[in-house]
Parts: sequence; C-alpha cells; structure tokens
Amino acid sequence: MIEFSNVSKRFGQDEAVDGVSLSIASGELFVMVGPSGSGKSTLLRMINRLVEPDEGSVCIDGQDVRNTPVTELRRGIGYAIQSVGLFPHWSVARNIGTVPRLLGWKEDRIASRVAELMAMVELDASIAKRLPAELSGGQQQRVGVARAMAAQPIIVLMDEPFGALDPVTREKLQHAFRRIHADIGTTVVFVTHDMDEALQLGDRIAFIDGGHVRQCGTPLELLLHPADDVVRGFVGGTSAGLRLLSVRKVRDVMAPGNVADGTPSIHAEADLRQALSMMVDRGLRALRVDGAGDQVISLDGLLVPPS
Amino acid sequence: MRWTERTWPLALLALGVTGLLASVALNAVVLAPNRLLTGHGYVSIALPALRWLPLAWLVVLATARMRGMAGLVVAMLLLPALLVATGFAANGLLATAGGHARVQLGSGFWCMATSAVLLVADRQREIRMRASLRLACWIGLAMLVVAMTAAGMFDRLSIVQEFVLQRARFLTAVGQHLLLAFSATAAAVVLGAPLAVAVAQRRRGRGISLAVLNLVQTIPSMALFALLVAPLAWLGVGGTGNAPALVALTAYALLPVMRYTLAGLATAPSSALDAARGLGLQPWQVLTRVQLPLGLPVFAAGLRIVLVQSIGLAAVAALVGAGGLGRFVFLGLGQGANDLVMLGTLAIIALALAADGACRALERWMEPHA
Repeated sequence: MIEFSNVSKRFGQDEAVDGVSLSIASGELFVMVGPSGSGKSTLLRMINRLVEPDEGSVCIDGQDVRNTPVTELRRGIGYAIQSVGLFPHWSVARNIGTVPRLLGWKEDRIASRVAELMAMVELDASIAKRLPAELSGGQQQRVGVARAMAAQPIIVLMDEPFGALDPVTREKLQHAFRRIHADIGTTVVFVTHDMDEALQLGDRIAFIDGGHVRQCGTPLELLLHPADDVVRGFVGGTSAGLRLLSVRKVRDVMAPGNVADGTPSIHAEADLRQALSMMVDRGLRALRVDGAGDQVISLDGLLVPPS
Repeated sequence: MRWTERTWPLALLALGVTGLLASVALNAVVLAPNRLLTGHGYVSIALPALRWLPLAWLVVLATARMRGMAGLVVAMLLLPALLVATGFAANGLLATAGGHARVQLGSGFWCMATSAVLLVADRQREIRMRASLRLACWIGLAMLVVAMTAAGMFDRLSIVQEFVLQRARFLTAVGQHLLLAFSATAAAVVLGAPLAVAVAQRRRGRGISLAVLNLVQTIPSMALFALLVAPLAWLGVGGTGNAPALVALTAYALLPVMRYTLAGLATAPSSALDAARGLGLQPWQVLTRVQLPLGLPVFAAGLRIVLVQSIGLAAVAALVGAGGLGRFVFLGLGQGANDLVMLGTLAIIALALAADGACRALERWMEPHA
C-alpha cells in the first residue's frame, strides 16, 4: 500500500502539490489524471524520491520512503516515462536488463528475464540486439514498459507512458498493458492527462487539479457523481454517455431473452460501447452473449442505470 | 557534367585566380648572394623552368566547372609539378651564381603552393570523397614530397640547406615540441575534465570557473609567459625552461577541455538521465554508464582541438627557453633568415595537420564501436 499523508511541495513561488492525502491499495492500477501542471507528476515522483516533499510523508507498506536508501528504493520500483528515456547507446536487451544488472543478477538469469519480458510486451525477439534509434515509437515505449517491469518490482510508476503515440498504437499498448497488469498484479501508479485513458485503464482514479485531489474513486463514481463542476467538465461534455458505456461490461446488463437464430454474438467481457457499436453497425436491437446460454443484450439494456 | 547548372564554383575560381596572379606578379624564387643578404626576385614567367605556370592556372580555371575525378586529378598533379619545376629553376639559377648563393622560395611560390593544396581539398569536398580516401590522398602527396626531397630534387633550395645544417637540432626540437604539446594536453585533461564533471550541475561553479578560464584565454601568450616567470622562480621550479611553458600551455588548454567536457556531458538526453536516476543508478553510475559513453564523440573532438591548439601555441614556448620548433622561428627572425623561420613554421603546421588527421581517423574508427 502507498500512502500520501498531507504532502506539499513548492517550486519557487508555485505550490505544485498542496496538502494531498491519498492511499493506493496493493495490486491496484491507480490513475492520477488532471490537466498539465496540476501536480500529478510531482506526486508520482515523490514515491521514488525523485522529488522530496516539503511537508508530509509518503509511506510504502507503512515504511516512510525516506527511511530506505534512495538507490535501493528506486531499484525496487519500476519507472517508465513519456519520453521513454531509453539509453541510446545500449541495445534493447541491455536497456531492459538495466535494473537486474544493477542488482547483480547472473547473466543467464538476466537473459531469460529479458526474453520473457519481450514476449510479455509483444516485442519480436529478433530486435533484442537493435539500438533504440532503430525502433518505432511504439516499440520504444514497449521497451520502456518492459524495462520498468524487469526486476519484478512491487510498484511500477508510469508517467504518461503512452502520451507520445498515435491513437492506434496507443490503444494497442493500453490493451496489452491492462492484460499484463491483470496477469502479474503489481501495484501501478499511472499518470495521464487523457480522461479516456484514465477511464479505460484505472481501477481507481484520482482527479488532480491545482495541486489538490478534487475527487478519488472508481471510473463509474467519477462519471456518475462528479464531485464538482471542474470534474464534471473533465469527465462529461458531449461524450459523457459514451464514456459511461465504455466503463461498463456486457456482463453487467445482460438479461435472459430471445433473439432470432443467426443473430451475431458478443463477449460478456466486452464493454457496452462495443455492444452499441455492433448493434448500430448490424442494424439490430439485440445481440446474443457469447457462451452465456439464453442471455442477450438489448438496446434497452444499455439504458439500465448502474447499480 | 551538368553544363546547364548555373552555379559557379566560387572557391575554385578564387583559388585559380590567386594562383594565376601569383604566377605572373609575385616572385616565385629569390636568388640571394648568401644566407643573409637580400636577393633578387624572379617571377615565374621570367624563368624557363617555371614559365608554364600561368598556363597551368588557366587550365585550372578552364576546367573549373568540370565535375568528378578529372578535376581532382588536375589539382593533385599541380603541387608535385610546381615543386619539381621549382627545384629545376633553383638548379638553373645557381649554375651561373657564386658559391655562397642561395635560392629562397618567394611569396609567389607560397601563394601557389597554398592555392594548390586548397584546390585539392576543394575538389575532394566537391566529389564527396570518403574520409579514408581523403586521408590516403594527403598521405600520398606528403610521401611524394618527402620522397622527392630525399632524392635530392630540392637540395639547392635554401630552406632544405637550412634543414641539413640544423638536422640534429631540428629533430630534437620536433620531439620537444610534441612532448610539450602532449603533456600540456594531458595535464589539462587531468585537471579540467574532473572540474567540468564537478561543476556540470552547479550553475554558479560553472559560471565562475568558465569566467576565470575565459580571462586566462584573453591574456596574450607572451604576457602569460612573462607573468609566470616571477611566481615560478619563487616556487623554485624556475621561471624559464619547460615549467612556465607547460603551465601556460595547460592554462590555455583548460578552457576548451572544460567546454568540450561540459558539452559532452550534456549530450545525454535529459529523459535518459531522468530514467537512469529513476531506475536507481547512483550518480557515479549515471556518469560512467550513460553520460561518458554518450559524450565520447564530443570528448574526442575536443581532445583533437586542444591538441592542435597546443601544438600551435607551443611555438611561443621557445621564448622562455623551453625549446621546440619555435626556436627556429625566433632564431630566424633574429637573424633575418627567412628560411629558418619558414622551416620552423612549416614543421609546426605539418605537425598540427598530422595531429588533426590522426585524431579524426581515430574518431571515425571509434564511432561504430561506441
């Protein structure tokens, strides 16, 4: 568990973070979202002590981070950033193996871990010997994520890791990342300014603005009960309804019913937005749900309010 | 050949015109009754052996817009031809002159020789010659000149006679000169590089140290040598000789060493540094594993520039009795023997160019390995 207790940080005259208290559960994918300059990156960087708070404390599993030697602390926490920050003179494999090497792992153990990580982030093993400059932006970002995960850290910090990518690559990486997180269950603290990304990825979301936490809750809570107009403005707008669909699953609203033979089906874990899209695309009012007996999802079902 | 292209090779034309004017208006050689007296100058068209030179420059101008290897071949032929013909001209003049008579090289010769060298460089650039081939061209030309000298083709030229007279001292001086320049460079790196690393993250420290070194750089070299005499004598290491020369050369080399070290350290992208710190590299690991390897090309370029600068500046060291090739320059100036001055100067230029070429070759060799 990561716990911020009343932390503040000033840079010159600017109050970057002002009395923030937050707690992040183990294994959670926690997203901090907010406009540029809101203090979300500063908060993130306090966890691995790249920034030291002026007031308050940050604790990991009850231990103040200041009590752990800084290099030891950082080697136990994965770190991936928007600009990737790969070492341009090192091969992909060497970049990924940075922290294991610092920790003094044996070469063959590093090599097998690197191979495992490359498979996990869906990188072809043939690029292991390439230099970062020879990779596409998406590949570089995958290397960055693999490097952050290399030494099986208990916590991974990610500062807009997909921010500089084109929408298609970005969505692919988000899906891959969601899957990786579900598989390994590391605590992830993820910073982004993109509300859709936050809703897509986060187990819980903290909305940060002007150095304060305006609201902290699940995606559904933020969408249904925004704490104030600023949050409402950020989550809502014209696409509020679509966003609501995208955070709910077919499983949540499916009901027994009858549809004509040969009606196409959709997976129970798909989100409602995909279901709506499929209905509009095929001109149907209802779809069969994959492998769920007589369960169907109908246009009316989309309007059922979340419980 | 692209005749339709309306661009004129300006550098090439300027070199051709310079050569042409030098061949008709300036003294190619000077016949002096002895080593020290002023002699009588001869323009190249006044001597049978050199009469073809204006024509050669006209050929250069006429072929100025020709592209490709042909231009380079013309340029490469010019220098050896000029040298051989000058050797013959000297022999011709001396055949009818007295026993102590000497043939000195005149301003016309130096102008034409310089133009011919620059012509080769320009043609190499034009055809985008590979760096290794360029180096091979220069080494080939240099070896040709050395071979012709060794074969005695220029024995009657006064500059060669000066060399023969001074041979032992000359070779010692080359050694002293190189030793001085290399030790000053090494000392500056040993002192300057750690200083740069120390102040790289400290704006104030960097400002102060660069300001001080900038100030040192503005002191004229002769004044710096003079300034060092008293304090070094007081320290007991002697105000003349190698000590002040080494101290002064090191002081001059410190600024470029620091500047290039700082520039090299800044080569690493800030995102890589952030990631390095965030992943738990210790400060010394960030330096040795990220900043130093990434800055290597800049460090190498800096080292080359500092070395070349030190070879040039070491000439002045002769003033405080440190020896080196500068001795010949100052000795020649004192005696009014221009050939002695030229002997020292040409040797210093040759050393500087050789050091530059060798360092560049080393840099290129290092690149793919980095």
